[in-house]
Amino acid sequence: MTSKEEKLRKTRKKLCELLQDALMLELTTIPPYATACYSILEQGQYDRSEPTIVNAEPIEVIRQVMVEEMLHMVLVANVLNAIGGKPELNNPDLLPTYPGTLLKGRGPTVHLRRFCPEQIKSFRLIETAPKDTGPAKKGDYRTIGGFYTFIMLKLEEACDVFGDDKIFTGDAKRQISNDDYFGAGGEVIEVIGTSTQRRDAAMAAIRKIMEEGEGADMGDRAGDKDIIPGPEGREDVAHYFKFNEILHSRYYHPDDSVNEPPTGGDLIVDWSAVSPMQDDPCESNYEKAPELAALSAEFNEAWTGLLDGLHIAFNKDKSALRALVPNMYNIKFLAQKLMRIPLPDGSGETAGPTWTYLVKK
Amino acid sequence: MGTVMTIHDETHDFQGFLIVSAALTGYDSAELQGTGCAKEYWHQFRQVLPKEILTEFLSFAPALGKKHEDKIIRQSYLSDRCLGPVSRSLIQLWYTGQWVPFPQEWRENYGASRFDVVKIISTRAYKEGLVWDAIGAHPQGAKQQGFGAWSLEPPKQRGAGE
Repeated sequence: MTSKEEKLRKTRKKLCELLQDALMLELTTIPPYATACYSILEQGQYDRSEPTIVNAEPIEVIRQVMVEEMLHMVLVANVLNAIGGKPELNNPDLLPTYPGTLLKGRGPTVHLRRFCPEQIKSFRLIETAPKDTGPAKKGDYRTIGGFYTFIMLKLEEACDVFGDDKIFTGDAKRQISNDDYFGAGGEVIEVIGTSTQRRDAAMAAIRKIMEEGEGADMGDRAGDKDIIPGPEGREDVAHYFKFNEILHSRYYHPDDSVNEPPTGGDLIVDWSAVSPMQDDPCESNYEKAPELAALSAEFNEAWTGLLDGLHIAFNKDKSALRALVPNMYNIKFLAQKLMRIPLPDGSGETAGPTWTYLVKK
Repeated sequence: MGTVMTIHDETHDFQGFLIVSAALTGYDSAELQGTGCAKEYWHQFRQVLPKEILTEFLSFAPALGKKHEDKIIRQSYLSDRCLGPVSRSLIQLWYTGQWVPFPQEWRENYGASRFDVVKIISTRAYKEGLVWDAIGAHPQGAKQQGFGAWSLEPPKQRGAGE
């Protein structure tokens, strides 16, 4: 092997590792967001005869963020597949556990907690834009945005040195399209076409992730240029600002400055209408409660099924993606069930999902 | 001190209520609490039953979950002139979220309660009825299973093949 070929091999391997890390990064955010979202009591505490959904607005805000994270996973998988990588979704050595850190210890710590101001503040921290991308470009990234800045730089470098056709060698059949994806969170970008087109599409995909996440480089506007489907056609704001909306009980106007509080309409938040789930639920809390352990296992089986299904969809059969929709609803109902059951320790706190991947024996 | 005792007794009674409910419904007490309706059902149950009947109803709880559970359920609950109708209403409550009033004969013998009327306890009670889980379906108009669920096999019945 010539030294240039060896360099190309190493560069491609490094790019695949970075994108695999990005895939896990997106995945890591989903359980904390979902847990907080599902801990919100939908109804039943104030109303007997007149059904209203308490906290409907924060539920919807978190849900929108969550489905965009799912879209980001698909986008990252498309880029990784485009450069001939293999997205791994069910490798227990790579999967997140909680509490855990983002970016392999460089980013903030994430916990599984109920819907509470501290948790929403920690979500806001996760989605914070880097003030200065200088260090990130040298590989010293501490935020999600900084990490993607670094990935884009490395990808461009590789393409410039070796040529687009030497980098984008993946099988086009692996690309998830809008026909395969359920359409939650926005449009999928397929990384297809000539090698130059693929390079442009890959960059566009990563830019989309960054814009929807912490809203970096948006020209001081909170809006992220996506239009939320609905009668009003309201412009969406980036995740950082969505969490800020909950904390301020007020929506952003898309033209609001990123440095000022939101100035849009009211957003009603009731922090008390929430299941008192224990922080960072873990299996050891259920050791003396076999009935709880059984329900927790049922949840983890559903979660495992989802990850296995995603792995198949990204590596073998795209149509597996569609079949996962009922699985996701099941995960929600099982999580809500766990969060209604008091722990046997008499603390008044309830059980919760641990989001553990079950390794096959 | 008196307050502490009351709280303790209520907790104890509530646990007993869950144990008897579990024996009558076939769902364990974690599953029952997972409906999120246990507290409101307990409230409804206490409202409709005279105190001494409630005490008798809960008195078998310590013996349940053991060898003779089936016999106790059949003889002391379902076949009992007083506790039989009570048990049937409670089973229907857990399965459908609806309180089904006692028969006229029962009222004549044990007294009528103004709370003993037919009603769905709450919107959640309808959604969380055990019947939906038992038949592998979802309540109409709620808890949809998601796109394409109709093409999947129903979930395996709990305890099937055990």
